[in-house]
Amino acid sequence: MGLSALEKRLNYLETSIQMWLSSAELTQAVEKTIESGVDRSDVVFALRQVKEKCTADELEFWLSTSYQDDADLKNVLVLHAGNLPLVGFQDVIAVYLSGAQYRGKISKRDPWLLPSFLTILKRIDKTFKGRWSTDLDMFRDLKADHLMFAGSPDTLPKIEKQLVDKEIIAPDCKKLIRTAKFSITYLGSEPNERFHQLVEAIERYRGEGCRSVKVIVAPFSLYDHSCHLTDYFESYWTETQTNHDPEDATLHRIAYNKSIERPQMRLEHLLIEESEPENFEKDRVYWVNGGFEKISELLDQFGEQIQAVYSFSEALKALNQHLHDVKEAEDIATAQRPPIYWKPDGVDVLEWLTA
Amino acid sequence: MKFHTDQIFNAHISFEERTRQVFDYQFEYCKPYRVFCESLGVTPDSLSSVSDIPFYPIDGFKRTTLRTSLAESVPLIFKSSGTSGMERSVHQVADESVYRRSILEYFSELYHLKESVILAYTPGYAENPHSSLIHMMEVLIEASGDSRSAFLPLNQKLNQAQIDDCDDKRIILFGAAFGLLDLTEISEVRLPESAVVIETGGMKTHRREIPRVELHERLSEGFCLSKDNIHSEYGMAELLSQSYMTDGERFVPPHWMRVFAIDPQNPMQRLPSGETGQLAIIDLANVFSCSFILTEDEGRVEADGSFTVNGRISKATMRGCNFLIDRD
Repeated sequence: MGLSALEKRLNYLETSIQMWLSSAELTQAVEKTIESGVDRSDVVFALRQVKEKCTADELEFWLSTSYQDDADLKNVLVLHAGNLPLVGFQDVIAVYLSGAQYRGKISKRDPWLLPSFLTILKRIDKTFKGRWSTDLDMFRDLKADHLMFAGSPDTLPKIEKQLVDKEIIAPDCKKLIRTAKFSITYLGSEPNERFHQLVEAIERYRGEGCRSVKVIVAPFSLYDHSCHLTDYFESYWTETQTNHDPEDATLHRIAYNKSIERPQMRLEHLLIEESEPENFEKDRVYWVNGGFEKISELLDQFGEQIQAVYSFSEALKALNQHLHDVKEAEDIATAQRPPIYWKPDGVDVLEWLTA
Repeated sequence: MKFHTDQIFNAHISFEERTRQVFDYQFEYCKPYRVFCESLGVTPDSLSSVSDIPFYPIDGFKRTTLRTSLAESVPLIFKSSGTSGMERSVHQVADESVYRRSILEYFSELYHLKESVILAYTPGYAENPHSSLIHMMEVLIEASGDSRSAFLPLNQKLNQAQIDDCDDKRIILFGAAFGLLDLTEISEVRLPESAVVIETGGMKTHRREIPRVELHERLSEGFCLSKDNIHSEYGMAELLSQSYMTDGERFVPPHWMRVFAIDPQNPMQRLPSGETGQLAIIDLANVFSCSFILTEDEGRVEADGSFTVNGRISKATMRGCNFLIDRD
């Protein structure tokens, strides 16, 4: 008996990923991405994640737990974000595995990496009819029946109107909208030797991912262990070469904090300040004094804006007991290294597509 | 050191020169602002142009004491409105006469106060001793010199006889946006053709938020007045000067105040006229606190200095997975 369509897709996918990771197309895409201003370390890290997380075992596990039924008649439009290198890779994989027709609006901020993979995939799987473009107008009259994108409830109506007016999506299009913006972490009672994981959770991709830590909750003050923390940041930047000059907005905030005597730490371009979270701006992390109750309070306050709650493994069990069904806290080590089957905004995209 | 406040209101001195004097004074005597400027590397000696003066976040009025006076107490304290539990801005007014002069000079220039009857549909002073708006109403009512000027009782119909009794002067009816809308719903009086209604903002309170154009239309219908007679005032507890919109389109500040649009992602960057940004204000009447304020309002400033206000700035940050469609 021959392979099923799904098994074929899985094989094609595995082959494509392997070929892509050593392809000239990828090398070129990486160089262009770096030239555009993305840190080399972040691009390399993102690719390493693909290599480590998109293994045959992991993909098969995802299919076994989430795949429901072939979605070959579905016409799926993905509006890819471009804030991180390869941020839409999971969506591409999910749409491909589901059997649906992939239509990708590629971000102009990251226009090389995903297309380089898609080109290889098309070469390997001759039946793959995916289309992608950085120009949304290319999808006029598409009448997609499924739409995936990251947005905020505020801007959603405007975007939807544009998509409907141009008949890019069908009027009854099923939508998967991601709204989460940031993550928080609980630091436990004492600093520990795994602070490098905290630093990676904050600084990887310059803190621009929704899994990036923007709020630290700790039962001690920022100043209590600032030297300790500084060492870990310096070590991270030495290794990754991703330190930058601070932006004017950060300098302005530092000056303001100083004027009101607010505890703060400036670490190269990054500012950590001890205050209640307000605006989640670039290069700014809030340090909030508190325990598990504070985590609950923040979850109440920011709701769907929070992607993930992390902690170090020793505090995870107790934190999860406290949070109960509200949110499942994750080990901070996985913040920037989630499995391929992780659920943005709590939704398993493969399950959503194949249900 | 006492600052000679007359020069603030002296239009014969260039705005830049007056600004420079106020900056030097505040750098010297307002400690939080000095620390802020020094941290940004801005000092009176280093300042080559007043356009390099940094704007202090309005939030500072909640977090620290912004004043140049060393006195233990001040005669007047304004607090921003807010529900219980909310942090409120505190503006310590070291010299009440500056506020009074700021109110009266500009209002009189626009509305001929002595030929007006001021009716304030706002809570009275007793209920809101720290409201800058109520204080302003008090000043205007008193300065109008007309015993018919008064605070109107809240939640009561306008009295037609009281209105008719003012026919020898122009009625100026002040009130918060929704308060005035409520008043149109409970009253069936006609205001005289010459009357002016000035709404003071607050379009997002107990009901839905409505655009200013719609608000003006509804007030115009409700009070049976031409739309030209529906005006707006832009002021806040943190500023001792007000701007007025008398043409239904843009606010115009007094000559001792200027408004700028700032890049919301970079508070050090002024935007060209006509671009929408975060509003920053130089209000020289704030001479004894801080005159260089970065507000949390969004708006647009035209080349002639007039401006529009869209509401509170949304810093729904362009971060995380929240990049929607590319901006070309």
